[in-house]
This record gives sequence, structure tokens and C-alpha cells, in this order.
Amino acid sequence: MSYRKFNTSWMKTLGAAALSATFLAAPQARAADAETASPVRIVVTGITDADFIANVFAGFLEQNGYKVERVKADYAAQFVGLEAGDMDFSTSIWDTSRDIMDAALATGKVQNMGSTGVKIREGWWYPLYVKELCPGLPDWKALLEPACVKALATVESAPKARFVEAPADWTTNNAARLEALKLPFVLEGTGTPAALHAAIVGAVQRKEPVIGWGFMPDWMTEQYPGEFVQFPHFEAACATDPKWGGNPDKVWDCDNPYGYVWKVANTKSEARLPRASRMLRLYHLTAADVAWGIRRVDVDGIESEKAAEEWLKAHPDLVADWAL
Amino acid sequence: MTAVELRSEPESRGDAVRGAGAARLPALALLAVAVLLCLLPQFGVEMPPALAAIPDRFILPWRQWAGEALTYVAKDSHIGPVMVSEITRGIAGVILQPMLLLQGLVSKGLTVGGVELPPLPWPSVMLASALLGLRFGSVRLALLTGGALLYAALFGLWDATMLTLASVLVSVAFGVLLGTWLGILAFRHPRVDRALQPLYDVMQTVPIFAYLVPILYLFGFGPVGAMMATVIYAMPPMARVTTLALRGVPASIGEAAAMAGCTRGQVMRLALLPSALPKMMIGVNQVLMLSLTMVIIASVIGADGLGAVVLKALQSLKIGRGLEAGLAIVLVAIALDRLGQAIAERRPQHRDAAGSRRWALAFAVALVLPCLLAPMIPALANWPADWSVSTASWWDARIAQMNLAFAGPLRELKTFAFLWLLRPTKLFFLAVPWIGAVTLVAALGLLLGGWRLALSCGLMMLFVAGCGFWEPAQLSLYLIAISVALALLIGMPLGLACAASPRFNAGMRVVLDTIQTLPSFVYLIPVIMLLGSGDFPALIAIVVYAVTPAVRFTADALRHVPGEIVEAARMSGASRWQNFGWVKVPLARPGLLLAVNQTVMMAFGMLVITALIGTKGLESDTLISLSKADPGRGIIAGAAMAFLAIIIDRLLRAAAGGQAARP
Amino acid sequence: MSTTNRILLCDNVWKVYGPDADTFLSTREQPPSPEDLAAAGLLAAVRGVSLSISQGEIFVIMGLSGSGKSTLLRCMTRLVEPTAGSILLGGTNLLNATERQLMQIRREKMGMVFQNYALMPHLSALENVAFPLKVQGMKRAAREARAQQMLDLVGLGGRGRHYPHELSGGQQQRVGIARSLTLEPDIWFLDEPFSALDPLVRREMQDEFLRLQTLLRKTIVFVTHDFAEAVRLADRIAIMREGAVVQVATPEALVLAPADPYVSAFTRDIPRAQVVTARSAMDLGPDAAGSAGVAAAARVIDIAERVLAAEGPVAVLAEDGGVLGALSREAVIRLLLAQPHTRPAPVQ
Ligand SMILES: Nc1ncnc2c1ncn2[C@@H]1O[C@H](COP(=O)(O)OP(=O)(O)OP(=O)(O)O)[C@@H](O)[C@H]1O
Ligand SMILES: [Mg+2]
Repeated sequence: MSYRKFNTSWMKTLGAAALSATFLAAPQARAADAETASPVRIVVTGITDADFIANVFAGFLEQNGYKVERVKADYAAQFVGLEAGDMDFSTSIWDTSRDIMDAALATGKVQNMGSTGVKIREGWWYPLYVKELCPGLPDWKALLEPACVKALATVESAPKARFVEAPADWTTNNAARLEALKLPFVLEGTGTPAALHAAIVGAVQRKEPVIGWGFMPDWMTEQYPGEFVQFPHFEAACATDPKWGGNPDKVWDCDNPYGYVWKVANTKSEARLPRASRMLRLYHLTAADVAWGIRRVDVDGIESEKAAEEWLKAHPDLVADWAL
Repeated sequence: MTAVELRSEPESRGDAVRGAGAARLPALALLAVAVLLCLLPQFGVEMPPALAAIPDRFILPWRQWAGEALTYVAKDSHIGPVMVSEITRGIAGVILQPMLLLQGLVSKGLTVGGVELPPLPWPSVMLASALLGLRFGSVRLALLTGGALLYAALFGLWDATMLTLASVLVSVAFGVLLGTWLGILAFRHPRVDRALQPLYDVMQTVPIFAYLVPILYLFGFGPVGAMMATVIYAMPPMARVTTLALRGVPASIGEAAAMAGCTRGQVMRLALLPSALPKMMIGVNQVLMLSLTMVIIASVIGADGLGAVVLKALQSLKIGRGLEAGLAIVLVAIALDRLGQAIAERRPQHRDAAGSRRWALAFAVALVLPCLLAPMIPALANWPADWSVSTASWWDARIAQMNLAFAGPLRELKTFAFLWLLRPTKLFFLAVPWIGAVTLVAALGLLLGGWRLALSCGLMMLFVAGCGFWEPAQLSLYLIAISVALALLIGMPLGLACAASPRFNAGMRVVLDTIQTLPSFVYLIPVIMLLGSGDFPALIAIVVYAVTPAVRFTADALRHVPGEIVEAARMSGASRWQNFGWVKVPLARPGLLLAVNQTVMMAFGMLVITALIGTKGLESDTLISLSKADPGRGIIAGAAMAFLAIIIDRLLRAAAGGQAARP
Repeated sequence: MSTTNRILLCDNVWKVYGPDADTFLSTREQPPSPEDLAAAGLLAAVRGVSLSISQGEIFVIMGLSGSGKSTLLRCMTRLVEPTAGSILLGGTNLLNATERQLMQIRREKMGMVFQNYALMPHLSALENVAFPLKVQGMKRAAREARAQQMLDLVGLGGRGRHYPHELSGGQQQRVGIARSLTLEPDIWFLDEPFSALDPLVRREMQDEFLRLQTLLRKTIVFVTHDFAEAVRLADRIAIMREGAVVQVATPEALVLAPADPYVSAFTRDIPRAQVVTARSAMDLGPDAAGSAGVAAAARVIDIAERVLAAEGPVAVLAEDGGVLGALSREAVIRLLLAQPHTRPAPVQ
């Protein structure tokens, strides 16, 4: 949708009364003078790690004289906003949800601004004490042992073991993996990260055997000692070629790929925010930085924006790298 | 607050009478066949596969069509040279203005002519709301309205509460205006009414995720998009109540206005609407309550405020914080509800005129004085952080304790429920062949309402079977069936007790109000911690929520049994229990069926939440469609869900109507 | 009754309820019978009514419940759209009036009082009475001053600030009456205005009504199903049955010469002396004593005392003072003693 066209047709059809409204709907109308005059709209999703990454960049832009509007959005819903131009930047798009990211990129209205440099590790996670019940972990074959399966079983899953699956809208490939590796597991659904965390952490607090989808960076994997199961390493062929790997008939007889956290932007925003866009391309953190942020927020209980500020103050050298 | 969902008269009553006579035998025969078809798989009889599940090649590409249509409307459609989305965005821009104004006033500050004004200081808002309570109610109400805000301030939730208040009030205003307009339209044109009724059903049962993407496209991100989603869900009761209230105004009032020389518009504006206003307040209350239940969902699409606080706290399992914010929502809801009721129940009195000037003065002082003092006393401008308290860590510790102490016994309970209730029911539902389900629905339609009902219900069921979501539909139905049964089992006796004892009723009301407005995630997350995710917490979520209408409507139905009839029965020597079983229950039967109906509808409304805790029915398809960029999937699954709800609703209402017709 | 001064004329007015009522009616040569209509699934609330109502007259419409009185009254005001016929108000056909014209006519010419008062619950008594003026956009002070006059007129001057639910039924109807008179209508329509009131209050309201009428001299169309009320108030009475007008006559003529048993059933319970005038009861002949006679139009009940106290027959005088005949004590006693349900002894 073109905002220019939006302006003219709107004024023509509905007249002066709505003029002020138009300015609000399309702040770029005023942006001719200076890039910093109109706010930069950055997505925050309420997920600790994602918000920390967003807030560090937002704080950085503010240091550079920008006005930043943090737009609250659901993870999946943010793509609609990015496509429609309701938001400019999003700084934490996970490889895990490729489908929706690819669909957004395919519209041509959203562009990839590169990786944040933050590595994602995700997969089958368990608290350390499970090792005692399933000797041989982290090797995945330990999960085939009947004693281990029995320990991890629940009334719903019996006689198989229970795996606390990520929300159904994440791409985990677990259903295929169970078949390919003949794992005697049942996937127990969780609809949201909150439910996923609750199911696993609840068991961990009781020191009960549990295994489920974990990811890094995340406060749970930060806070509780645990490990990821090691499956055969991912290679592109594993996802497409059944012959690859231990099971000659099935795909996904391997781990998920280790991905990155990506940055994306509305395509039109670059014209309005050329300098900010270049800085976004340069912006990068490490997993350790994010882990630090998560601890500050979730363990020490300070606001994400404050934590980001602290981080920015503590790392002037790194920050200088992104500036133009 | 009443969960009354007023609907128009059961339309199939005439049908029912006819159906009762001629079509009774064939209908019963059909019913027998249907039951047989449904049960055969239970006895191990293999169905021909084409009758068990519609083969894929007969399934029309509904999903794709819906997806394309939706994408077209949202992204490419235009009226003349103007894109539809540009028009809707323009509308959104206009609607945003009052929202921004109110948010600025209570929370973010305003810029007027280049001068930045701070938001109203907290004592202004708190005093003004307490005064409102005093003006329209009593000291108790004033304590409630002021106290709710004091709670918010005390727990460091002032800003979030103000944002929620602002957006809820604008949503309610918008919902009420739109609902009133549609209600008037339906009142004037019965045909429009008939067309709108099913639309309202759909609006209230299709899970929001199904239409979230188009809403976001058309109205943009942030408060307006969230408001639109809220209004879609919360407005229908207003429209329904408005039509009913207008019908309830004596015709002579309209005639008197016409004879006074009113134009058509004046008759409506000056005579009918004001006369209907007291009854319409029920609708306003409904919009308010439903808007508040949407606060969490609205925060998903960019509405800041208490919902966002709850959601964020729960993301990292800070349950105590989530609970604090959740209770703030409850308090705001109850305060607004009671205030609304007090205003609705107030009848004009001739002494008012003199006093109103004094009230206006009091309000002005309450609002302005803190504003004047705030620049000198910073504690008035912003609630000082060290005045705040938090019980969050206490709650978190309690929940951790509970997790250790109760997980064992609760697990036993869950095991029992799973083995004896959930699993068998689930297997049963999954085994029902589509042919059986369609026949069953048609037979019931024929029996209860006549061939038109049979046809429409049968066709809707056929759509559910043939849209490619048969198994998820069965999974949704199974959850609905169990939870409705449990909700009725719990709710009806409670309703009975409410009808019998006003004191119990008063206590129950607070409980129900809390249940209805406390974001369910606040109590579901602890349940998941204790018992894991999946169907069991989902069941709890639905039951807790659906108990509300079960209690309220049961109590209502029993309360409205005419007193004389009960007295007559007592005079003829009926014992208490005879009186209850032979007189009250049969007389209240239509009302009780309505209770069942509302319970089912609420259960459907709650399904959307269960998607968020990992169920696998239709609701989860609507959720998944979001992140898989597959809007067709969401719409069709949502439509299937709406159809299921409408089928049940129509059948139950026909049953209630038929009962009423046979005295 | 003078016929020169007709103000309202109904000509063959029909109101038929049901699907496609107008086409059903217009495709017929002969007026349909109730059976025809029932067969077509229709219901005629008003069937071919023709009436003329004169300036200053109190015209009462009577009939059993469901006989179409209210519907006919609403046809006259076009609150209900007649299916066929014409209604002339001061020469203009109401049925051809546009929405705007109709609104104007109602503002200038018509006032109406309703059975259940039809007061707006959200307005005070004063505001209710001022309502017709507010609709026209009159300033608040002016309209409330006028409304206050009207309230004073109906004896509720002190209750202006009260709301309808704070008033008794009789008081509410006084407000309704005041409201209907605010615009000084030429014709005043009243649909069973007093039937929701208890007998004592009803009586009081009837007196009030008569007092107002002597003051205002309106043309009045008054619906009631109470014959005693009709007799007290009416100049002429129209009796309706199943939507049709059976007889239009003075109360006296209805009693003395009912058109059919339906009409006489109505008149049965009314004491003769209350209806019969001196003119009908007198003996023709010059042998009247004294000069102090009674008016020919006077009802026997009102003059009975004087006649009984007189030595001999009392002269019955025309309006111009001419002696028409004499009223004997026997005639008066006979009328007073006459059982209401028996036909009165033939007078002449
Ligand atoms: N809107 C309507 N639709 C269908 N039938 C109607 C309608 N209004 C009135 N009727 C019918 O027309 C007939 C005459 O009704 P109307 O109200 O004029 O009677 P009424 O003489 O005023 O009776 P009452 O003394 O009870 O007021 C009745 O049979 C009534 O059922
Ligand atoms: Mg009537």
C-alpha cells in the first residue's frame, strides 16, 4: 500500500476533518525534514530475550537522537504489521518460525536486514538430573531405553514417554523426527511459550523427570541447569533426502539446524530512515550478551529497557561499531 | 453483572408445533438410524471408509478459497479507485483520536497547541471515580470505585490500569454506538434483524485468531486493531438488547411523539431511545464485561495495559505479578459494572435539579485541585515507587510450595479423570462417522423444529465434515461435551442455591464476576505447572468459565417461576421436594434449557484460550494459521467452529421453544 | 346537529391487516365480507367506515374490545396507514399528505391522549408537556413557560418537576391531556383516556374534561367502551362492530331507537332518565302551567326535581323561548322508574 496514494485519495474523498487522522496513520508525511523527526517503530513481543535485543537497539537509536516507539505485538502477528508498514523494524525473528518469515519476505514488503549474530540453540532439553534415569544422555540413543521411556512416561502418554512440545505454531519437525528415529514418545501440546515453560519448569521444581522443547537464549535454559539431547547433526540433505542418515526411508533423522536471530524491516522504511536502517544492518550482539540481559530481567527483576540501558553504558566500544 | 445474552424470540416455534405433529414418526425413525450409525463403530463394526470420514478427493478447496478471498479483501480490494484498506485505515485514524485523547488525559499526557500537559494526577482520577460512585450509588460503591484504583496505584499498576481503562472505555463507547445503531436498524427492518442474528452468532463464536490478520491489515496495529477485535466479540449483545428494548417500549410512546409532530428521526432520538435506555444498560454492561475479558487477547495485538502486564509476567512464570495485574482487571471490571448498574437502576427524581450543581462543583474540585497541587508536591503527580507494595514473591513462593505439596494428589485425580472420562470420551468422539453425525443433527432438527431446521443444521454439519477439519472438529466437540457436562453438574446446583438464598447469591456473584474477568491464564499457568499441559488444564479452563452462565441462568430460571403457581402447589399440599420436582423444574424448563444453551456458547467462547495451552482441535488450527501464514486455514476452521456452535444453539433453542409451546 | 361545519370526513375507510392486504382490496369490485377476508388470511380492523364530524362536536366511538375503535382513531391521525378510503381534514385529504405535511398537520391541528398515558419516562411532567414545543425547536424558557400554563390548566401546576413514575395514574393522565393541548389543536383525539383509572378518579377526570371543553370548545373524537361515559360526554356516538360502524346517533336516539340488538345491548344498562331529553318526554299540547319552563334539550334526570316539585305539567321551551309542549309528573316518574333493561314506555 502506498502512503502517498493513501494521502491524496483520502483527502479527496473525506476532506479536511480527517486530515489530522491521516497524519497519525502515516507519520512519514511529515518526515521530509529530518530522519529523526518521526518515531522509529520497533516491535517488542513481551518475550524477555527478544525484548532485550529490541530495547538495546531502541536505546541505541535514542542515543542517536531518534524518537523510538516500542510497538507491542504478538510474535506471529508482528509480520502483518511489518508488511503493512505499521512497524519499521523487528530485531528478533527466529529461524524456528521460518514459514511465516519466508512468507513475509516473499511479499516484497519486508526485507531481511541480516542476522543479529545471536546464535540459537534449540532442541530436546532436559534438566541435568534426568541423566541419572537415562544413562547415556546427551546421546539421543539413551532415549530408546525402556527404563528411560518408563521414567519419562505420564498417564496420558503411557506406554510411551512424554515430550513437552513447543507451541504448535513453531517449526520443530518433531513429529517427523519421532518417526524417523523411532522414538517412543508422545508429543504433548503447549499453545504458548508460557505454557511450555510452565509445564517443564513445574516438573523441574518438583525434580521430576521431564523432557521438552528448550531453546537458547531463554530464561528457562539460563536459570535451570540442563542440556540438549544430541541428535545426528543437521545437514541440508537431512530435511529433504530420506536416504540421508540412519533411517533410509524418512527425513529428519537428525537435529534441527542451529539458526540465528534475524533482523527484518519494512521495505519502505529504508527510504524514510536510511541512516537507522544502515545502523540496523550493523547491529549485532552475542548470545552471552542476551543471556546477561535475560538474567537481569528475569532473575534480578529489573525492566527490560533499564537492562538495555545498563548494557549500552557498559559496552561503549561495541556500540561504537554500529554507529555511523 | 449478568451474563445475559439476549437473543430474539426462538424463531422456530411455529415450526416446532408443526414438527411435533406430522413429522414426529419419521423423525424418530431417522433419529434411531442416526444413533445406530454413530454407535456402530463403538461395537467394533467397520464402516465403509467413505462413510467414516469424507474422502479427501471430495473435500472442496475451501481453505484455499477462503485464504484467497481474505487476502484479496485485506490487501487488494477497492471501491472505485480507493483501496478498501485505505478507507478502513482512514476510519481507524479517526477512531484513534478519542483513544489518544483519553490515554493522554489519564496516562501519557497531552500536547495542546505546542504546550505539553501532564496527565491527570492519580488523586484526581481516584477522587473523581469515588465521587462517581457516591453520586450514582452509595458509600459502598464509592469505596469500590475508589478502592479499585487505589489497588492499582498501590501495586504499581497505575499506568497500565489507566491505559486499560482508556482503551476499554473507548471500545465500550464504540461497541455501544455501533450496537445501538444496528439494534435500531434491526428494530425498524425485521428482515435486517433476521440477517444479523446468525452473523452475531458467528462473531461471538469464531475465535479471534481466525480474523486477526485481516483486522490487522485493515485497521493497523495497536489500539485500534485491538479495539476492532474487541468490538467484534463484545458488540452483539448490545445490538440484541437494543432491538429487544425498543420492542419493549409501548407503541403509544412512539405514537405520542409522532402526534407531537416529530420526524421519524426525532421519534427515535427523543422518544423511543430514551425510553428504552434503562433496558439498554444491560447491553452496555455486557459490552463492558466482554471487552474486559478481551483485554488479554487485545494485548496480543498491541494494546498496552494490564493485559500486557499479565502476559509478560506469565511468559517468564512470574505468576504472582500476573495475579496482581489480573486482580486489577477484576477490580476495574467489577467497579465499572457496579457503577454501570447503579446508573442504570437510577430513576430520575424531581429533587435532582438543585443538587446537581453541587455535584458538578465537587467533581471540578476533585479533578482540578490535585492538578494545581501536583507541580508543588511530586508525590501527587506520580505515585511514589516506595509507596508501592508487591505480594508477587509471596505468591510465587506459595505456588512453588503448592507445586511440591499438591502435585501428587492432584496427579491422582488427573489420572482418574483421564482414564475414566477423558480418554473414553475422546475415543468415542473420534470414532463417530460423519454420516452418523450429519444424520443425527438432521434428525434432531426434524424432531425439535421441523424440516427447515433439519435442513440448515444438516447442511452446516455437512460443511464441518467436508471442510477438511473433521478430526479437529471432533476433538473440539469432545472437550466441549465433557466440560459442558461438568459445568452444568457444578453450576446447576449452585444456581439452585442462589435462587434459594439471597445471601448465597450475593457471595456467588462476586465469585462469578471474578471468574469471568480474571484472565484465565493467571490460574491456568499454575495448573499447567502442577499437571502438565494438554486437555486437562483445557478442561479446567472451560469448566471454570462455563460454570458462570450455568449458575446464573439456572438461578434466573428458577426465580422467575410465577409465585402464585408455587403457592397454589403448596396449598394443594405439595411437599418442598414435590413442589420443586413437579412444579418448579417443569415450569422453569425453558429457562433451564437456556442455561444449557448459554453454557455451551460460553464453552465455545473459551475454546480459543485452550488453543493457547496446547489442545489440538479447531481452535488450535485458527492459532496455527497465524504463524504459518495460512489465513484460509484459520477462517475455515473458525467457520466450522461457529457452525458447530450454531447447530447446538439452534437445536437447544428449538427444544426450549417446543417445551414452552406444550404447556 | 349542524352538518354545514364539517371538519373531519371519513369516506369508506378500510384497514386490513395481513399479507398483500392492499392488492386484495383493490382487486375487488364488491366490498369483501369478513368471511372472504378470513379465507384470505386477512383481518379487517376497520371496514368501510364513513363518518363526518362537525366543528365543536364531541364525537364518541364505542364498541366491544377488538371492534376496531383504536384502529379507526389511528387512521384518522394516520398513525395507522388506512388500506383504502379517504380522510378529509378541513378539506385536505390526509392520505395524500407527504411525511412533512403530515408532521405539519399534526403540529398545527391535532392533539391526542392515550389510554396508558404514553408519557416519556425520562422527562419530567413539565418537560413532557413541553415536548411538542421542543420538537419544533422552541427555546427552553419559552416552552417551559407555556407548558407551565398548560399544567396550571389541568391543575398540576405544582408538580412540573415530578417524573411520571412519581405521579398517580390520574395525575399522569392530566399531564397527557396537558401535553395534547400544548399545541392548541383544532381536533382532539382521545383513546380511552380514562379507562385505566378507578371509578372515582374517572368521574373526576370526566368532570375535568367537561370543564376544559367548556373553556376550549375543541372538536373531539373520543374512544371509550363505557356507555355511561359516552352518554355523559357525547354529542353523538358511533357504535362499531367488527370494524364497521353500526349506528351513529345522539345518545338519546341510540337508546330510543337502537338500530339492532347489538346496539340495544349496549344501551341496556343506562337509566333512561339520564338519556332522554325533555323534548322526547313531553306531551304535546298547550296546557302547560306557569312561565318557568325547562329547556327542551335538558335531560330528564337533571330537571326531574323541578318537575316533581311543580303543581302541574311544566312547559318545555325551545331555545328561542317558544313553548313546545308540557312535561308531566307522570311522564317523569315513569322514566325514573323505568328498568334500564326494559324498553321505556312509549313516549308519544
Ligand atoms: N398491527 C396489527 N396487526 C394485526 N392486527 C391488528 C393490529 N392492530 C390491531 N389489530 C387487530 O385489529 C382489531 C381491532 O383492534 P383495535 O385495537 O382497533 O380494537 P379496539 O376496538 O381498540 O379494542 P380495545 O377496546 O381492546 O382497545 C383487533 O382484532 C386487533 O387484533
Ligand atoms: Mg383500543
